[in-house]
Formats: sequence, C-alpha cells, structure tokens
Amino acid sequence: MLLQQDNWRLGYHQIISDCRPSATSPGGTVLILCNPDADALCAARILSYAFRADKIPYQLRPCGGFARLKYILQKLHLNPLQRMQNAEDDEEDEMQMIQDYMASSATVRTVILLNLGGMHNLQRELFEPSSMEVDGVRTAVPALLHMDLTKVFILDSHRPYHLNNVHSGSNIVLWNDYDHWHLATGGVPSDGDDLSGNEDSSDDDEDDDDDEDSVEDSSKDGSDHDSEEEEAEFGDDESTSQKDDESNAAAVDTKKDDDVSGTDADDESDQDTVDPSSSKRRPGDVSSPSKSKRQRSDPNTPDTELDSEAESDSESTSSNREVSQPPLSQMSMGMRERHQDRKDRIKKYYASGSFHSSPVAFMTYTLLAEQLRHRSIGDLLWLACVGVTDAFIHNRLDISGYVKLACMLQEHVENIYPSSANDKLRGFASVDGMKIAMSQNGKIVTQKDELRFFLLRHTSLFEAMILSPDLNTRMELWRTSGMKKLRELLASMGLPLSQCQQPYAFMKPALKRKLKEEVMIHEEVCCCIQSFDDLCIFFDVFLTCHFPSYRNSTFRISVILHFFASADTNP
Amino acid sequence: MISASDVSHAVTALLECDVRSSGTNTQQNDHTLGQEDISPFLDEEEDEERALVESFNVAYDALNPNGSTSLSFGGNFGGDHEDGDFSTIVNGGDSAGSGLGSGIRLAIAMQKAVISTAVSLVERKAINRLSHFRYAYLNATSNGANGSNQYSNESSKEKQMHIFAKPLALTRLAHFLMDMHRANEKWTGARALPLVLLAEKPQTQSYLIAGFEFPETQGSMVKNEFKQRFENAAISMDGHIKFDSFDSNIVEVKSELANRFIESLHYLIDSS
Repeated sequence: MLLQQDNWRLGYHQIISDCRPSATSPGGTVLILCNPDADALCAARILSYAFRADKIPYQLRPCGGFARLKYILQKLHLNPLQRMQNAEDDEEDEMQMIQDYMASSATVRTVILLNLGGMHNLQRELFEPSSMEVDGVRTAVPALLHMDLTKVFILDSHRPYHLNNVHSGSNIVLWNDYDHWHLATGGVPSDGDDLSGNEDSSDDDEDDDDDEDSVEDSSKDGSDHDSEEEEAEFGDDESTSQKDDESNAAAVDTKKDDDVSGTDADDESDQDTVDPSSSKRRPGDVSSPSKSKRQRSDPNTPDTELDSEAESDSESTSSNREVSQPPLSQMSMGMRERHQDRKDRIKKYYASGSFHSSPVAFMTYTLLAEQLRHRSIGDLLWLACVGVTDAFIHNRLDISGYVKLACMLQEHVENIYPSSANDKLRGFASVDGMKIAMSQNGKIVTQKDELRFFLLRHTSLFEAMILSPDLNTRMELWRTSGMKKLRELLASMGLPLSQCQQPYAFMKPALKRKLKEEVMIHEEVCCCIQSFDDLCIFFDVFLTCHFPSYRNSTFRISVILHFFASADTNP
Repeated sequence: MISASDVSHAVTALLECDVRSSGTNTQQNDHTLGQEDISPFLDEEEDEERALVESFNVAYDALNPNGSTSLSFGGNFGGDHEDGDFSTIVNGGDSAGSGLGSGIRLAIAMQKAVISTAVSLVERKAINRLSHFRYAYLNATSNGANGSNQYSNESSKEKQMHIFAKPLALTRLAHFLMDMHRANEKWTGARALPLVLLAEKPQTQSYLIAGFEFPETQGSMVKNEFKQRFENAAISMDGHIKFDSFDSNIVEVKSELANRFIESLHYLIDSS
C-alpha cells in the first residue's frame, strides 16, 4: 500500500509497535537493507537515529542486487515455515513454529528497504511460496517472509513502483512522496495509482495455480486478526485526512483485503518484468481466464467492483485513491472495455519510463523532523543535505526539483539555527562568501554563489576547474586548446597561475574574494569569446553544506545555497 | 570545511572503490562477515559481496557527522598520505583521520579517471552510433591505457575490478560524455540519441550494461525507457540476462552475449 506523506508517521508507529517489547509480545528487530549509494546511506543514518532514540534494535546491511536481497532474507530464516519444511512436512506444527518464532525478541519483524525494491514485485517474490526445480523434481519453497510476521517498508526513490507493491495490502508499505513536488513538475503520471485498477484485476485473476491463491488466502485468514489493528489505523487516518463520503473506512478496509490476492496475481501476469516467459504470456491470456475467474469470485463482485471504481475514479485526485466514490458511468462500461482501459493505463504507467522521486534521505528527514519528535537536529539535517546533493550530482534530480528541495532545506536550516549569524550571512554573502567562517560552531549555514568546481576546498583551484564536469566540457579542457583558453581566462581574471595551483586552502584570501567577482564579470566577458558564451560556473541554485570540524570536536556545519541565473547569459 | 557535494563525492567514491585493493585490511574483512555463515555461493559474487560490505562500512563511517570514528586505514589508499593532506592541516585534522579524507582523494582520482576515459573514448572514436542509440565498450584492458588505474593497479590483474563496472561511476562517465557532446554540439538535433555503455567486469566475465537517455539541456531529466527496451531485448534472446540491479536501466550480460544483446536491442527498437 502507499502511505502518503501525511501518514508517514503511521508507518513508523507501526514499526515501533511491532518491534517494541510489550506484555503480549517480546518485540523484534528491524532489518534495514540499504542500496549502496550515498543518498541511501544518509537515509540509513537518519533512520537509525530514530530507532536508537526509540530503543528499537536494528541491523543494517548493504544490499546490491535483487538476488542478494532474496539471499539475505533467506539466510536469516525470517519465515518459520522455511525451517519447518526443511525438517519435515508437519502442518500441525505450523502454529507452534510461529509461536516459537514470535517468542524470540531477536525476530526480524520489519524489513526496511532504502532506495531499493520499489520496482520489483516484492509481494510475489517475498511473500508467496515459489517452487524450485531440482533434477526434474519440483519442490515447493516456502515464501521468504511470513505474512503475519514480517512487514516490508519501502523508501525508494526509484519510480515507477511496481503496482503489485502498491496494492498488496498492509504487508508492503511504500512511503510515497509524489504528490508532494513531482506533480507540480508534471514529472509523475498521476494515474500511477489508479492504473492499478485493482479491483478489475480481482476479476481477471491469473490462470496460475489456484493452490497459490488458496495458500495465500488461508494465511490471510490467519493474519486477519493480527493485521486488523493496523489496517484500522491506516484506514482511519485515510478517512479523516481524505474525504470519504461513502461507506465507513472499516468496510473499505476489509474489501481491500479481499482484493489483494487478486491484484497480485493479475499484476503479476501483466507486469512481470524479470521473467520473460510470463511477460510474453501477457497479450493472449487475459480475457478468457479472467472470465472464468470472474464467475468464481462472484460473491465478492459487488464489493470489489465498487471499490475498483473508486480507485479508477480517483484518477482525477490522485491523493484519495484509496477511498472514494464510483462513478456510475464507469459501472455501466462493459467489462471488456474496462479491462482494456485498465490494461492501457497500466501499460502507459510502465512505458513512460523510469525516473527518480525525491531523495530518500530527504524523505526520511521529513519523516523525522516534521512528523516525529526529532525536530531540530543539525546532524540529521546535514545528512539530508548530503542526500539531496548526492541525488543531484548523480542526475537523479533535475534542477527544478533540486531547487525546491534546497529551498525547503534552507527553511529547515533557518528554523534550526535562527541566529543572527545566519541573517548576517544572507546579507553579506554576495559581498564576501567567506562570512561563513564567522558562523558559530555546529551550524549549518547557507550561502549563495558557491562556485561549482569539483571539490574546490580540497584541491587547487586549477585542478578543481579542470575536474569540474561543467567547465571541462564547456571549455573543452580535454583539448590543449581548451587548456590554453583556461590559462588565458585565469590571466584575464588577474589570478596568478602559481596561486591557482596552490591548494585552495592556501590561496591568498584576497584572491579568493576576487575570484567570485571576477567569475561574475567574466561570464559576461565570456559571451564575446567563442565557446565561453554559455559558461556556467555558478549554478542555478546549488546547495553545499559546509561541515567543518574543530579540533575540540565541536563542529560547524554550513549549508551553502546559492543562486545565480546562469541561463540568462546565453539567450 | 566540507560541503555537501564534497561529502557526496567522497562517500560515493568510497562505496564504489574496492577498498581491499589497497591490501590493508583483509583480516578485517573476515572479521566483519565472520558471524554469519555464508555458504559457498558463487565465488566471484561472494567476493564482490564482501567487497561491498567492506566499502559500505567504510562509507557509512565516513558519513558520521562527528568524524570521530576514524578507521585505521584512512589514508592508505588514495596514494600518499602526505600528498593530499593539506585539508587536514587547515581544517583541524578530523577529516583525514576518518574515511572522508581518503574518500575525497579517491573521488579526485575517480573524476580524473572519468575524464580521461571519456576523452580516450572520444579520441579513439570508440563510441559507435546506431540509428537509435550510441554504444561504447569499456574494456578492462583499456584500463591502463587511459590512465584510469591510479589506485587500483596495486592489486593483481585478475582481482582487479574495472572501476566503471560500478553503476554510479558508469553513470558519471555517461553524463560526462553527454555533457561533452552537448557542449560541442555534436549530439544535437537528430543526432541526440540515448547512450548505452558496456563496462567489462573481468571477475565475472560479464558486462555491465547501462542505458542513459540523452537530455537535450543540461540538468534536465528525461524518463529512462531502457527498462522496457532491455527487457524486450532479453526476451528476444531467451533471457540469459541478469536484471539484478535496482536501477532499472542497468543489466548484466555475459561477455559472449554482449554483442548479441546490443544487436537485438537495436533491432527491437528499430522494429517498434
């Protein structure tokens, strides 16, 4: 299920209530799996802060690929059925196994995926039993995770989500951000959610194996009891936050539960991406088995259809997709048409290509700072800054998205450090960027007009300019002619080459101050010189955080935020 | 003083560089994974996995805002300790003690490798153009030739990981190439085509293949459609393709199949 931004904290509270020891349960641990990129690392740090604060045990692991994800989960034996089936097939033991399993406080009750997994069909891969063929003998392999025991929370900036994850009930929770800023840029097909067209899908259930379904159903029955609470919790919130004019939230929730299995199977058939054979099957199979299934699922039909309409209806207002009213017109639409319609929408959803939403570090920070109690913690904000910057550097964020996030981060900075130093800085930044050095310890400071040279503070100016992708490509510094131009440029700026080749930290302060003004001036000058014309040394809004550390281990953090309308120089 | 972009570059470099190529901490390696029994998987993958855990830990520690958990091998692998250490002197000494300082030096080396590799690709005219996309091979043997092995040549050749066999490094290279050609206006208009890079992974004898859309203006984003394209190509080849990455535009293909993969990719896009 999708958890919209307003409700993120509910997901977190769910984790807490699952994992915190109580009178009835011994609690459990959280397993955080982290994609190896800087953004996810920052998110992991932020999240682990919250867990430490709430005294929730957690373990953190990197996870570089989907096979690895399954391997890790398998090795941890998160599903008690796994062990059972390995030993002997004794079904009566099942309850006992589960109870034993729950009794241990080291049990992993929650798996959090950071920047990974959202695009894979986790419902099928993790929660449904599979079968393995060894030497021609098919043996059933129990699911990696048990529906009752483990929940998967996903924070992933990869889009589009696999629709199966979106509609898989409460076992897979996606912390979703996108109405937040993506809609404004038109970056997200708002239909993403309803494309699921869940309930239709329950009609055209897959031809696969019915046992699979039944297994799931039975496990579901068992889980109903358990999951009711949190379902209700989520449901309640939805109903309050979004106007649901119809049936009470509880009813909707139960209905949702019903459809889940159907949705899975269907999406599987339609959308399976990894396995070529099943994708191939896609075009032919849908209509006929769907009909038969439809009859089978007759008892459910009224409910589910209502629900489905609700879902497709919410296309217009993507936020309240979970509960809303069915339009009568669609009700009357033929099954086949609707089915086709749905298929088209799903196809469009996936075919529009993959992209990235806001960085997970930023999402995590938002969760902690705005919805939990960790409001003014500079370290966390710093990590969020790093995450956002990382996403930008690696082209996961475009400029406008970056600008928005940077501005929001800047607001946070000002909230946390409302001191005069910050104000002063903003006043003087254009005159003297080095004012940041005057700020207090442990501070994040924003600054305008940061030069976008590669690791400027850790190399020489000359090298930083050469290594900067912008400058390098624009001035063709990889050619000798380009280098010559660069030297000319520096000369005309009045910066001696010997100084430029010094480590930047040792450059004369006067020259450093001069540098920025000169760059500003020369950008206009450059217009006359061919190939300098759109030289963009300043970036539109580029956020850098300064994070100096003092010998006494107090430190100062500064976010540097700078604006410059570079595009205007080259109309 | 450290800026967020510095940290990002450094952490990325730490993540993607084989920490053990410095040869300093093999014992530590066993130690970190010791508690869990990892039964023999595939040897290379296991090795890769350990390397990942290793560099992950280093990178994670480097992110520590307190900078106090310095790791013993902090300065060991980006070259000389004395060389790049001016940041230490000036900034109070913490950053070089932690992994961050070495990460920054690694990042500089990486960036140089990116640029030199990109330049060598262009000068050797190694980027081939098909009617729907461009592609280029990055072979590990060309590693030495283009000067990209500044820090990895200490390890033996067969152990060596091609630095661009890591998704983030490959992404950076791709974007540098695209920036380059956007700036000199060679890839504009009708010649603006997506770019596919194939980076050899000598260890597993496969290629990491990544597809990138070519945005016409810098800093904008185009939705990446390579997921579907790769999938279709894989289907047409009866699927010997690993769709393992969480980035949908990256697949791994056995070396002998790489060429066919590109071919079928071409024909599929052509026919669609």
